[in-house]
Amino acid sequence: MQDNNQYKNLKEKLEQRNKSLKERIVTKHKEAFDWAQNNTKQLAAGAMGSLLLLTTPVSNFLPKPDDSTQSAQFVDVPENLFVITDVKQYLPDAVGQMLPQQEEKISEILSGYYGFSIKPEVNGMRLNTAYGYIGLEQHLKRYPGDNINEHFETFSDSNQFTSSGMAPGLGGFGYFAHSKNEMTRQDIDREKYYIAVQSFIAPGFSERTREYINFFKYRKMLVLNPNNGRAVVVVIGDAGPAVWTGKHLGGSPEVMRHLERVDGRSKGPVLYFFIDDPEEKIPLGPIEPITNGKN
Amino acid sequence: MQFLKKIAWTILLLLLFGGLVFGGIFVRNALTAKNYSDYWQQKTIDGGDFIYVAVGDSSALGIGATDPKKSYVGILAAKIQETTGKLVKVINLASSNADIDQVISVQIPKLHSYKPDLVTVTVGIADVDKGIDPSVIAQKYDILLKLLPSRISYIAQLPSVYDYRKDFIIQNINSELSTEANQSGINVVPLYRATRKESYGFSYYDWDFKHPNDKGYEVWAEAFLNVIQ
Repeated sequence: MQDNNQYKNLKEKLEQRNKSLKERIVTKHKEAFDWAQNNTKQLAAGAMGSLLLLTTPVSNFLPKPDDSTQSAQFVDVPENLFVITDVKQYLPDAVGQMLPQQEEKISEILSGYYGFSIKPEVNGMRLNTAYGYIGLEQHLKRYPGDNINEHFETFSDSNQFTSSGMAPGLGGFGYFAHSKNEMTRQDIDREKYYIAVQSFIAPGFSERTREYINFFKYRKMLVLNPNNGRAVVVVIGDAGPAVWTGKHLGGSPEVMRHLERVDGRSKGPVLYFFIDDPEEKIPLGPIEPITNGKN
Repeated sequence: MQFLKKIAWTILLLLLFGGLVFGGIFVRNALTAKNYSDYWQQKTIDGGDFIYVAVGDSSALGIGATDPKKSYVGILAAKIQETTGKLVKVINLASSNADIDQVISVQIPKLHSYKPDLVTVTVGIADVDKGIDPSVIAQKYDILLKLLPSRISYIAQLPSVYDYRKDFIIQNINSELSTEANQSGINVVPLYRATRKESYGFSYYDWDFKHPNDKGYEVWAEAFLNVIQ
């Protein structure tokens, strides 16, 4: 009896999910459906062509679908895909300046997906752009005497990230901790998931330097790769890169690995928005969407 | 194999050349520091009605200028003499590579043995180069500011540099310095703003790409004069 109830619940959930997906497909691809309705001749010709191709003897040589392909029809669609499609509608063609309306729409979408407030601007302070090219940065010294051999907590991390090396100087905000003994979990995570932003060319920076530095120091941001929907919660831990590089921000090796921006080009577009987290509740690191994008 | 040998030789020669250039500049700067230090030492025996004491690092000595008179200290002394009509006695206590701690422990006690009419201070870049945390540098500045005579002392902000990361650290320190100096009644020379544009051009630097040249020191002197006047 209990089993029956469980199946009933599961069935209801799947039906609900199916309904929601259908609604979203119809809403998102309304233009495509309209086109199909108005272009029945082209569709009919296409269907005929497909039929001719499928009835040729070649199809006999094709392998029969096995169980794995049948089950693939029921693979759950990751929410990341919806993030990509939703965000892409408002992305400008070129990386760099986004219109305020585009920023507003994207921050609304991201806030909906991740369940917390994501903004391009806080208290009138903002960066030069919220959509820019990210490049790979090196590890930063967390305390005086920190070095690449003592930098990692696990053997796997050491294997993956040692090759990125350590920046010879200090990060823009200095050390993360006064000494190794005083280093906290928060300090470790801040260095692990840091980005360098061009704070020095932020509008108003030269007039209100102290205020801006205090604002940017370890400010939480969401960085999203709009090509694959992968996102990370990071802090601003450094200043850079230089304007002449053509990049707008830099990511720690761990951030770049998660965003999958390690394809050798060392430069790819990302979205980066401020996270409003005054109570420090949102943990740093990779993050997945929690809703279907609707508040 | 032959090709690899050629590459190896090219790299070796380039490294050797780079080492020679770097070593040459290092030796030249060390010799200049000695010569300019001797020059300023000689100046202390000159008489004068207006006592000008300079403290700080190699920039106060004038390293990078073709002549100590063309350093910002030299230019300032000449300008003050010209505008006030008083004979200026320059006491330059600066030393090459001095950091804030050295200025506090070595130069400031000497400063107190004079009754200066003007004190200028340029120090801090050695601390940044050593990788000292910006918050620690700000604390050191705070101690230094408390030891300087108020009203007549002029401390310069750290100048702008072409390295963007170091430049950001410098801006961070400068903003702290300005706040602390205002509280201590010490005048702050906005050297960062004055050198912002020049720091990205070749014409501002000496061969070592660290110290200003004659033209660079003119910019420094102007920044000081704008505040002193």
